[in-house]
Amino acid sequence: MPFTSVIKRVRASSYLLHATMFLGASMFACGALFASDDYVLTEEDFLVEIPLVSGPTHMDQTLAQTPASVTIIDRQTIQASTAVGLIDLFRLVPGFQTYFVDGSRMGTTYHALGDEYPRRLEVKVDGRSVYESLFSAVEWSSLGVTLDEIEYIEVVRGANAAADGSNAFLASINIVTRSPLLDSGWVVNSQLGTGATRNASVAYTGKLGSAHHRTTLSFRRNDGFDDSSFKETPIIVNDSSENITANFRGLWTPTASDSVEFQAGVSDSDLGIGEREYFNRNIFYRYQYVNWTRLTRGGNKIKLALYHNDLDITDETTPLTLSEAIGVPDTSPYWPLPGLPDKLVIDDSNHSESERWDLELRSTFNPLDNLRAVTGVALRYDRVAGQELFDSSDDMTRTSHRAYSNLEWTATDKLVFNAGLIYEDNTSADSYHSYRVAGNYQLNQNHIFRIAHNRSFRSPTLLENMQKQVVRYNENIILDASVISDSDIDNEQLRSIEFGYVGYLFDQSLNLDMRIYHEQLTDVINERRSGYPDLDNFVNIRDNTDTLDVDGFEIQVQYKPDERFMLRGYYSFSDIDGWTLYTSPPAIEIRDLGEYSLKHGAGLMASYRYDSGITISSTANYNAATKHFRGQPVESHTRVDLKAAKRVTAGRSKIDLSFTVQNVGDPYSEFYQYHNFETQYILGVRLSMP
Amino acid sequence: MSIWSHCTARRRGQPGKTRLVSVVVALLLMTLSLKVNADPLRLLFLISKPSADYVAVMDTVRRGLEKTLPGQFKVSVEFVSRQNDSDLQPESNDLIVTIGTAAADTAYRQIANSQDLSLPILSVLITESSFSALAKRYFGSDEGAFVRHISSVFIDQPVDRSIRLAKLLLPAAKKTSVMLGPSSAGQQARIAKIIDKTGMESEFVSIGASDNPIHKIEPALSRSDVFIPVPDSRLINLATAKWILHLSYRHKVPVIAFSRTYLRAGALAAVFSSPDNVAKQTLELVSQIILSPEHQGRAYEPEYYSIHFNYSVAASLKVPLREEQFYRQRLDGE
Repeated sequence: MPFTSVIKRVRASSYLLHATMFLGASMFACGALFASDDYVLTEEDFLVEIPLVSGPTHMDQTLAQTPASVTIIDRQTIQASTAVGLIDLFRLVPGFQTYFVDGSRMGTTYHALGDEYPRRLEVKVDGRSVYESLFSAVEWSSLGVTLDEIEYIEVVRGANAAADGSNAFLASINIVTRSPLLDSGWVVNSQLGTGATRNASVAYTGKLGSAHHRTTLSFRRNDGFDDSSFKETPIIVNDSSENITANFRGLWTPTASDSVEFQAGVSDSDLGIGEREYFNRNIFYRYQYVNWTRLTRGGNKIKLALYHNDLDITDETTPLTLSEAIGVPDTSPYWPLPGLPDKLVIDDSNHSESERWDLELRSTFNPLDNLRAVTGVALRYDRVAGQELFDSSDDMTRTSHRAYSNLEWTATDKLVFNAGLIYEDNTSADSYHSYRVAGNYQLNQNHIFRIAHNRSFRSPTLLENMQKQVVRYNENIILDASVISDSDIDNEQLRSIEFGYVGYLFDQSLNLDMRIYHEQLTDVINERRSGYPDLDNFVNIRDNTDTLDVDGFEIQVQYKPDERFMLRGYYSFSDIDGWTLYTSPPAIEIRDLGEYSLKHGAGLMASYRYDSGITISSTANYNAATKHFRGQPVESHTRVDLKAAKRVTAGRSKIDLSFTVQNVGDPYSEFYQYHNFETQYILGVRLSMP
Repeated sequence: MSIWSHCTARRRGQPGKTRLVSVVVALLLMTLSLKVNADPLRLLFLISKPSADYVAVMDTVRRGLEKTLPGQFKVSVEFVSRQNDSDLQPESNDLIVTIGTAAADTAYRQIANSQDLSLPILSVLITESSFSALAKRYFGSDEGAFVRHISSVFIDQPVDRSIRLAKLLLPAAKKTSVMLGPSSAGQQARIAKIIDKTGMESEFVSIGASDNPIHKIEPALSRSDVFIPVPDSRLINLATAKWILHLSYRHKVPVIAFSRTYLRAGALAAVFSSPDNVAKQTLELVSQIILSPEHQGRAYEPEYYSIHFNYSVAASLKVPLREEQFYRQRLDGE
């Protein structure tokens, strides 16, 4: 029973108990001028910020107070954008590199190392981490979050490990879905487009007893990229995808002080994935999430959250015998296993599993008038399994703990300091402390300068820690070892420093955000080539092989002079100076990583709503030439998307019609050169019946 | 009769122009009298904490005094959060301006502990209920505080302004729902009369700490044309704001709020005392209190107020907005 062991770990962890005691004590630490039974208002009841957005420290902060650069993609932006899928929205974020590995697999990374499974971003949906240990990444295609369900997305640009833990190594994303209180009745959405795009969803928002809920059933399918060629060899690109998802989100507020949120979902995806050769992957994904929040009289908050993610993956592969795999019959004198017969060495399917339980207790309080704090303790249980990935039928498990505290100290009316510290340990790597310190100087209400320093660690995931991907003939003979994790694999490390500026101009209609940074990544986990006693005498060892220095700057502008017009733009420059230990001793080979920089990236989105109810939007994205990490070199390109939308009202019902053209102009390559993004035409209809 | 209504009556008897003239005359007299007395007056700003709103009030008043009465005040600033009570020496000042409840608490304690000590205190950025609670604690009653020359300017804007603004913004509105909490429950009858005067029907929702807020707010909000939450304890404000705004969006019912942050979060309009409003009235009262003992020992309602609109919400709810001046003139004119 996984949770039994989890509970045992809690009992055994004295530091966690101490932290919990501190947390409990802190709840009552906030002094009050008046007795708790006096109904006395103070000026703070008027001046207090009404919280709606949670910042990068888990405190409700304004951009003037945050210790990091933050991009907020709000609902208005989402509705006006030319995005068709969730991943498209990250093309609006400076420093992000967003791409389709293939038609059914998406990736996004910040600054560096964006391979087919980018693994240094924490991604949460309503606070629930969707980072999967099995992929060491986020499986975007099976998330099942439709654009219509999203209220806003908060992207913390820069390491956020001090608040979000190990995976927020380079940045963190929190996708906040709409409260069921915001809507009522039915919403039906449909999109039809080229590439056999067929997206549809039905959502109902209503009441179940005294709880409000939204239940959504959605379906997505497309054919992915068109067939292509590589080095004059035709490639049949079988990367179609199909996903069906059911989500439920409920809200219950038994008292003014207490609110309980519960979520559950299930999704089933069939994805065609691969690199020149494609296979079908089925992902069956389930989650359950509950959080209880209590407000105290003093405005303090305590939150208890528990979630469970469960992922089953089945890869349908072409069965292969040894003779088919090496092209040598067992009757040949070159047969590598004299005396042993040919046999099936690769099955027609591989099954793997990934499961996570996470329990977190968090308190937000004001120890002093000018000091705010968030303190939390959490424990997590991860389990992965997969014969093909781990060369074992056993479960690979890990229990990890974290205790953190983020403080915001308003030293003067112009100076705010933030400090965050997190302690993490787990059963399969060294424990570590990540921290962040930042100072914000508010020259006046409209100009804020920030300096921040981060020291972060990222623990190897279960896959990185325990991978042993081999093809066996039998228990004693390994035919081919492809990836094996080094037994001494260590935590990745990051030191970064940044200077930031947030400005509000033209009566606050223009918001400017600038960030200059230096990031130093060491012990970065990658693969080094090494000798191995198998048929090809070669294996990739997963180890701490890379060192990178990333320098750059980012500018983000949002201009909203009125309710009709919106302009968002960014420019980012990023330069990687790094190397990787490509080949193990004795034939040491060091390779440069500089070619993986996305040196120049830019984006511009504009939207205007006419009196007639028609809204036109356009998005332009420029990416300089780069080479995708573990992918291929791609040329510089500019992609332009256009969209026209109109709302028609019929009684209380509303119909939103939209027509989107993605990539007006020539095709460009994404991740692999033979995955060409052609012009896409998508017709959308949204009907809401409250 | 509460201090509030008492002083409201007194202050309303003083038309704006007359008041302006009296302030100007007071400043002139003060300038003349201070020229006779060469020593500058010692003014202590005692501030609860160094947060932006508190410091903004102090800065604005200090700058105003330097501009209108240069060299006439020797100003010192102390933060309650940074020092011990024993460090304070109230007797070495001619006037103390407390900014925030914690500052008032500290000053009142010192005054109460020393019966011989008599100097005027002006408390700003304080609510009516905080002032009454402190006055009762240290001086037995509000009157007891007034006798010790303590004056206050309340931060609470009268709900009347929000109700009248609601009617101006939504002339077709027929029904207003008002949310009250434990602290504000006593205002129900008075608020009902004000709403009645505007020609609207009223409905009240009382939220206690043990109530399901959504369950109670939604029926009233969904039946009304405008919703007005009356400020209450922080727990009630925080616990209800998010749900009120979400339900407001869902039922397309505008909310008239009491703070800038509430407005930013999704209310249609807000009437509140900004730091500038508080500072302006404080600046006027400092000179009056120094010069004329009759201005000491009184509670003042907020003379100035800010109205802000959320244009996104107005567009979403299709509420046409005029210039702020239009509403201000009508609110002041009534």
